[in-house]
Amino acid sequence: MAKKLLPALFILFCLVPLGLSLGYSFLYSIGGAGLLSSGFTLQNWLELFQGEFLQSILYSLWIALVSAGLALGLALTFLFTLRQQMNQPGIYRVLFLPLTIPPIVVAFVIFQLYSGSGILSRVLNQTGLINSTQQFPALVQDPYGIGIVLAHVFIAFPFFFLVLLNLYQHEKLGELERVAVSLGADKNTIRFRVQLPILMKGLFPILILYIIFFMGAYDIPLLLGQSSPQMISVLILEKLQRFNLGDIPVAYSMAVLYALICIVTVSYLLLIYRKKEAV
Amino acid sequence: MTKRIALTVLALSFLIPFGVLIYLSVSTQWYYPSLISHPFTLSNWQSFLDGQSGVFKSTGLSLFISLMVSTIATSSGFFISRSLVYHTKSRWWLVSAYFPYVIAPVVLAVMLNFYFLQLGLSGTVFGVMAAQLLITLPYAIILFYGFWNRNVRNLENLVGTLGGSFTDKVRHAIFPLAKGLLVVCFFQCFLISWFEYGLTQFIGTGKVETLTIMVYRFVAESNPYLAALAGTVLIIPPIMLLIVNRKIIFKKEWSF
Repeated sequence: MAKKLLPALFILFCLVPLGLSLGYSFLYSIGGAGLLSSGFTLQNWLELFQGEFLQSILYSLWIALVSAGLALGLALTFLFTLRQQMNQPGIYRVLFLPLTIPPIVVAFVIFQLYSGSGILSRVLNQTGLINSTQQFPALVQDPYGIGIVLAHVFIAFPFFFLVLLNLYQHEKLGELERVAVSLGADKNTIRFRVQLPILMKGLFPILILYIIFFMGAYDIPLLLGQSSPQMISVLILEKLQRFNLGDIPVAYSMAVLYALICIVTVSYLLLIYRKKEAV
Repeated sequence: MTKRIALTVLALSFLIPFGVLIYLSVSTQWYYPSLISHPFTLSNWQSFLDGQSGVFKSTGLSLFISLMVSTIATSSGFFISRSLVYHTKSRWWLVSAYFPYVIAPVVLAVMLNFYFLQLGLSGTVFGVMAAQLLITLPYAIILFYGFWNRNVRNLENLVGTLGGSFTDKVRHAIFPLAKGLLVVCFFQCFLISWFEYGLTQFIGTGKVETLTIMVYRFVAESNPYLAALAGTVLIIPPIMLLIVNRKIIFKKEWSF
């Protein structure tokens, strides 16, 4: 009995709500549900590929790629240059600290540090480098998403670094380095042709998951993002809560398409990519 | 020398946010361009302790929600993952557990909202807990999935062969092996729930005032002092969990 009951609970509490929510949202997006529905239409879906959604999804992807790329680059640089120093317990413990701060608090701190009236601007003012808030460059709520990227890097860098340190030990890359040196390989060859491919292979699934998480981030862009273009989650919420009720089906179509992108990516990663890796 | 500077910069960049939060939580009338020449006060913390700012009440509510969600997710995720590993063959089950977890929680909330409204769960604490369970339960299942390996199964079979019931299997074979992972999963689910903002805001419709909701509310009200206070309170439990968690993991008291 329990054999069937527990998987049924999984289906009931995890998959059914997801399926129902996707189903309702899809129906709403094609005019099959909702008070203002005037019959079947694909208009809301066609709109996605013309304007805000496309811009927003590309902007979200850009922010996610830059954030993940910077965090990874920093983590690799620190791994290759400061790995030995990380053995000091004090330094190693500090790496865990950013993981204790919720994203909304990270966003708040970044705002207080880098906004026009923030701490950095006040320091520059006190030192006489600037005279007013207008002279301070826009680092938050800016067109390039600098504030959002800073917040994401603050969250992701220590995590990537800890994973890389773990991989380095687990894959015995130190010993591999000694073997490569004895075979005459130089430092760059060891790093880029021996160690980096092994590290990237181990980190790849986590990296993709982080890119997906960053793309769907809500708390951080809500505080640090600008009004246009917006990250995808913020845009969906705004469309849904705006006074224009005609935007609600568009919001649902955006939500469905975004959810499908996430599902397909994860399925690829866990089913096809892993199968390829196993071969 | 360069390495020492790099390490100092790294440590400072991680410590500065804590300093900013504490600094702002004891500040008032912090007008531009003042950096340190403004009044300092403990009145924000007093308003927290005497319950005037509402942060104390939110702390209790957040603790209640996070503890309930992490307890339910950990205990049910543990046995559901066992049943999925033992009684299903396709890897698709594991993959499907990732789906609710990878979609942005706030987008999941948007899509689920219709059903929560129909069931009268929108704007209630129970509704927020149910919504958070939709993320934490799959997470717990994913975390425990790898635990049910051949060794655990053999040990369970051994207890069974010696006449042990399912309860005996859990008490004498499964639980001693899984203690560490159960603690880790509980902490992780607690943090997911504790950090959650978007889903809580949307399903709770602003009526369920957890600490993250309070942080955003104070920011929107241009009150960085109380926002910093709520932020400081928010990071205390994770730091305590981190200390406990690291002790558990690094003392190797638990077996994995």
